[in-house]
Amino acid sequence: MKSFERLTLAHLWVAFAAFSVACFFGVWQMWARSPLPAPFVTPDHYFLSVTAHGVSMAFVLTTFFIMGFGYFTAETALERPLPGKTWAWLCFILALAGALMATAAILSGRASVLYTFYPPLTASPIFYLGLVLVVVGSWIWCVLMIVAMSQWKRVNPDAPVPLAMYATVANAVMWLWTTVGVTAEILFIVLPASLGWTDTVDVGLTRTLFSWTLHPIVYFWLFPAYIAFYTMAPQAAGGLLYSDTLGRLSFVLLLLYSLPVGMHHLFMDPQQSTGFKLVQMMLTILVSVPTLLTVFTIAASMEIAGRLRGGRGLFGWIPALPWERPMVLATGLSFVMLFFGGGGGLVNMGYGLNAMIHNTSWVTAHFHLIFGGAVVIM
Amino acid sequence: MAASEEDILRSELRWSMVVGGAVALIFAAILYAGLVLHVNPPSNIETIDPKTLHLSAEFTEANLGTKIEAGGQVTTRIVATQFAFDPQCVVVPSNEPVTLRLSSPDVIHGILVTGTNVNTMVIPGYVSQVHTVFTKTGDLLMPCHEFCGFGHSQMWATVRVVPRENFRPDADGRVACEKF
Repeated sequence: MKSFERLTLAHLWVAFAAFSVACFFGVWQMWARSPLPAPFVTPDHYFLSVTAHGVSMAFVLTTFFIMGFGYFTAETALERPLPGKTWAWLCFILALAGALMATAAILSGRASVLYTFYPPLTASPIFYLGLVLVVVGSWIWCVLMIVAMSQWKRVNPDAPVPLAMYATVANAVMWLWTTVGVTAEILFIVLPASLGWTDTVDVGLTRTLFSWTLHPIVYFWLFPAYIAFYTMAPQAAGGLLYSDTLGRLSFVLLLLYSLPVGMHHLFMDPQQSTGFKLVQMMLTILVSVPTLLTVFTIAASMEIAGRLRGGRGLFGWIPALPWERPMVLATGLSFVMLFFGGGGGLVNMGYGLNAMIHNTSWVTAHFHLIFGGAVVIM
Repeated sequence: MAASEEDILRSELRWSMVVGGAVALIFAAILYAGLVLHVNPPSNIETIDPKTLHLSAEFTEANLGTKIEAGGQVTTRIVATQFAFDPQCVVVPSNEPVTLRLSSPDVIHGILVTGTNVNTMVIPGYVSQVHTVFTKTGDLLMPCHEFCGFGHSQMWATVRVVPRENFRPDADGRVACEKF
């Protein structure tokens, strides 16, 4: 096995281990909420479980998978060895140590604050420190991705960066910016309070900082799925990508629009003004643009593949696609769920309708459709 | 099958126009709702010290619940605290503007009133305020909708909407659930 493959596999093993843990808790939560009698149901078990499910799905699975996928992309798309492999292993160990610290704190029952923290609720400092280590580890990954691309660019000054790497670096840049919010929240407000150094928490400020991270984090998760849409699905279907330019445009738009957009999680909060919320709402609508462009390009690429395989008529190309291939089936199913999840997102986005659904199971359904339907499936 | 560069570009421009049109339509609908219909979020930048909330003029025990203000405005004041609302039940008149004012002395809470457009977070340090008109009479459920600790799922209150003619305040302008 090549050394970058070992590195990638190590990340994927951690990611899938976290996924199994999260699934186990998720199934038990459904059971606990169903009319069927479930064992161990107490509020402290339940909220411990929700915290473990959220942290392992949203932070551990995603971060490790994205880092592993990024190393794989850098080595295969750029066709040259990944720079700084020692750093990559260091960042793996750092992030793994952080994930284990957070897990220990959660399982000991001293961090049942859910994955969105809700200060002034406080958890064990070990929990917050663990999560900071995961984030710091991912920052090293971001730098490695940028370095890998600039080294390739120096050798190939006139060629465009391969689309997969272009998107990976867009994701790294976005992640460097957006994690500043949650890191500042933890290091400057939540951790000092958890250690007993401070006795008050500015809740309006912590919510604002967390929201800075909270929506772009979803695009951090979505980027690898979009990379798979653009660079793997058309080939798997036996066609070709309809347009490389529109792909690049989508990734740039996704990067630009996701930078300031997280505050739409605070539409029902008192501490931000109506005018500011209006601006955030406008930006949120614009984020739908790269997704709509992607849907067009990928559907067109799939149509080419279907027609090359002999599909005829307006919809004849759909049954002609090679659905027995996992990548094609995953793309198809993912589009179905992205349709419902994205449509739900358009509802959440307007603050008039937001008042109907804010903090209801509708929102849980929305992010599960996007997360399970687009991110995990791809 | 042979699609030229220009064909591809043309189809992409057409689709971009569809996307641009859809986005512009949504923009326009939201601006219309906000500026003309006054559908706006519950923003209310009004701070209060959570540590002395129970001593503040407004959120003292005696001042909670529904009251008709000097100007005739119906205002309901509620404290959200781990893990109960105070009061547990409030009365409001139907088909009349009502202002809900809430605050928290401890952690983040949030409320919605089922079947209405009332939905706001209750953030310690701030007074949340929602203006609404209740159109249906009866008892409406008002659960806490933000995780606030292990007792979160037990935290809920009742909003009792009564017809305008039955909504009779006492000498202090107050109306309590016990009367209904």
